[in-house]
Amino acid sequence: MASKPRVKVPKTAAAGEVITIKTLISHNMESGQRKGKDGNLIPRQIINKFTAEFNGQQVFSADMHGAISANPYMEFTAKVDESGTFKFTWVDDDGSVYEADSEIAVS
Amino acid sequence: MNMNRRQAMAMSAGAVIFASTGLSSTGALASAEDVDKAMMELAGGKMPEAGKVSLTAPEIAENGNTVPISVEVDSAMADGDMVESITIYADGNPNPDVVTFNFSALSGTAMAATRMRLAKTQNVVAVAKMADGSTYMDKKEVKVTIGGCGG
Amino acid sequence: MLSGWLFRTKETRALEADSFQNPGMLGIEQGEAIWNTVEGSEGKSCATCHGDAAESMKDIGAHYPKWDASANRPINIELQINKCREERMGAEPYAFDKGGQKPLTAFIRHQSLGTPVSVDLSQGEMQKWWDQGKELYYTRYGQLNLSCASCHEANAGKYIRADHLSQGQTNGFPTYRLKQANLISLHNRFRGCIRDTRAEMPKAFSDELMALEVYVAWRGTGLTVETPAVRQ
Repeated sequence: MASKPRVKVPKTAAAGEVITIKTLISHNMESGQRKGKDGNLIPRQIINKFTAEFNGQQVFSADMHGAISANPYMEFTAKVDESGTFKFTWVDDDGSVYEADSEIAVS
Repeated sequence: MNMNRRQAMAMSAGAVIFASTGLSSTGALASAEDVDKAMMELAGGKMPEAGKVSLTAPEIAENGNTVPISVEVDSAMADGDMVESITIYADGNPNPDVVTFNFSALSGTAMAATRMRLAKTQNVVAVAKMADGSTYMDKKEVKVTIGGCGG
Repeated sequence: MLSGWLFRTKETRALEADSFQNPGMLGIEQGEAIWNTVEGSEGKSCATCHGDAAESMKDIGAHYPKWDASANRPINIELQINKCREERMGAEPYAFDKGGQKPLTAFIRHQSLGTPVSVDLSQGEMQKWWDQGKELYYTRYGQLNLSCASCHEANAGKYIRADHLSQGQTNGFPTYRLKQANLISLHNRFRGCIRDTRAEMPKAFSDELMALEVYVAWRGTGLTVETPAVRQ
């Protein structure tokens, strides 16, 4: 991992508001379709799963394949009724898990 | 005349350079039939209906490596009107599967955006699966330009 | 005088303009981490001497390359970083495009986001290097017999096959290229262009490419720094 995941969540929202969340993470997303300089296939290594939870409940997830671009970007929405913490998780083909948190105050 | 010949040479030489620096594919690409098959499977043996889901993608992608797409279903995302998932396929990539977005009651809307790879000009297809099992689709052709100045 | 941004599609323009979505920002954050990392025998990081880059490096990157009296040649941001590493930090200089060179250069340059580019030709022998750079810019090279000007002056705005030719300005470098999904340095881009003319490529930071950087940066006087730009 070259750098921390980037996440954009509003700091505050009104109860019941639908907010937009954006995430960006540094990853080659090696598709498994490319040949290296030696002519052999470069094995696939991608982030295959992204999950967003709010206060422990699943909000959104994405199952990714090799056609997702390097440095994968995800944008989606969430309806927030109370203050709490978003937890974002990215799972790599090699088993590594990358995480980020973001707090939101809801009034 | 000399200039014309020179320009023609530049064009054809360029073609060779750019073709050889493109992503080398392993061979077979997916087809529209592959995507139809995958959609039928997702939809439980029938083709999804057109409508409800809208897919936004550029008409022309400047580079096939990074193509922004977004999908949205007009849905209340509450009791009785829930979108379970939206699956994206590409019918000219080595593997037609791109991504499946899974929504929940906390999603608020059935909207998602990401960036994808396209090996060549092809159709991108979005299939929305509703909580009641019904499925809807949208399709956009994205032209991928090949033959830029490589870096 | 037009930024390369204007030659791109609306999707690519939007990607650059959104400071969150812009994937080059991943490199900027990586550069910020390097800025604060101690390296070398002197136990120093960039921040040890220069503190907060948002203040100490503000607008600095918009005015490179500049004259380096001790080296008696122009210096760019990459070479300035290497000079600091060797002379102040006791660290190995970065090899071209290696180590933290691209992200750190981009991070420093990003502190000048929106600042108009200008190059001071009055210092040292900058004028002589500008003359050499201009000579190079208009000289045809390679089997395809193309000069920089053939594409970026005479034919800017037209298409070379599927590529919409820009004016070849430097204000967005290091730039995030969608093709490589990575930051691309200016000298890498110079070399790529020269390779596409089917000519022998001068080395990065060679006298030829430093002269070219002086001249091409000057051609973009007044364009604002866009680092990290997003290009095809």
